[in-house]
Amino acid sequence: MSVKIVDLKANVLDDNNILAENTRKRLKEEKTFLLNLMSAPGSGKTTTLTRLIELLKDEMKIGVMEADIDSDVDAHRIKAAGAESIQLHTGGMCHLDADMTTQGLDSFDSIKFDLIVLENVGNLVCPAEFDTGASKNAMILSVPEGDDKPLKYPLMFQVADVVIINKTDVAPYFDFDLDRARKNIEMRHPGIDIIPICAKTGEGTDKLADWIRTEVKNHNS
Amino acid sequence: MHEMSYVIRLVNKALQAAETEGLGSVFEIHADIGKMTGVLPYYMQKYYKKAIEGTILENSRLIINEVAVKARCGSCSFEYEPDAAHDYLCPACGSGNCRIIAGREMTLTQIKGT
Repeated sequence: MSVKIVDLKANVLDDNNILAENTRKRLKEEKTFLLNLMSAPGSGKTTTLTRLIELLKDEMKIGVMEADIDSDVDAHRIKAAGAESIQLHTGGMCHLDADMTTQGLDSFDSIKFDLIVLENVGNLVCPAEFDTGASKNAMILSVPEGDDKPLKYPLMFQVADVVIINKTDVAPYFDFDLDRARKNIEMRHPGIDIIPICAKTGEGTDKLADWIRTEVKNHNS
Repeated sequence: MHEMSYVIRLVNKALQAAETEGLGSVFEIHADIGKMTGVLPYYMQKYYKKAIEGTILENSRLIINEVAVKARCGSCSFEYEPDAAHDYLCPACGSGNCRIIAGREMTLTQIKGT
């Protein structure tokens, strides 16, 4: 039998990218803004989310999709703050992809929400590689992680649309230089929005809420 | 760990292509893998053997061609391979405003079979 050699140029992530684009279109039609929130474990996602829910719950209906392997978002805290939440079944994966996200949106009945926050798996590497179909990407860099993280995880900072620098209150104890962090982030992603906050005290969270208000408005216009 | 995600997608692509081409058995597949994917060839190979069990790709070899990361400077259009020695910035003008033009791909480029 003769050997057949077939030359191809098949992008392995094609299916994911196409599904992600379709999901973005669907969300636009539904007027549901999906924010993909990425960070390392322990960066303060839950506290940041509860602050945001408090600030925004009177003007928009908010949902949270939790994807961490063993979620560090306490569903009770999210509910107490005034939002609904569901747990996605990631089966121990190190990242979410467009398929898992779309399944989550279906079972969450995404159309009834104005804002859904997708809490990606705590990891600064893999989640940056797979488009989830989210309207925008946000990442939290917390002070104890160090101001050099943008140099070590360049892709994460390139795919992010906004970087939230959390735990600014402890900066003096960690030799964290906010200007150096800004410089390192902008080296990876010139012109990106950078919002320093302290989720624990609430400082700066009004600016983050404003960023979301603007993005939701742009998304729906 | 994300290698498994890529391997399953790669094997599915190869199976689709084999079906389209009417191949009954595949003995070699080639893939371009960008270094910015953070994928380790060692683990790709390891998971590949598992992923092809019981398919027409069983016993086939995976040949990986690693693709270097390449960027085009948005300020001076210089094309370069970002490296730590230059803080990953443009070595010609020092700008960080660049577009990655290679190194993020994972492409199935060839299958060989009968």
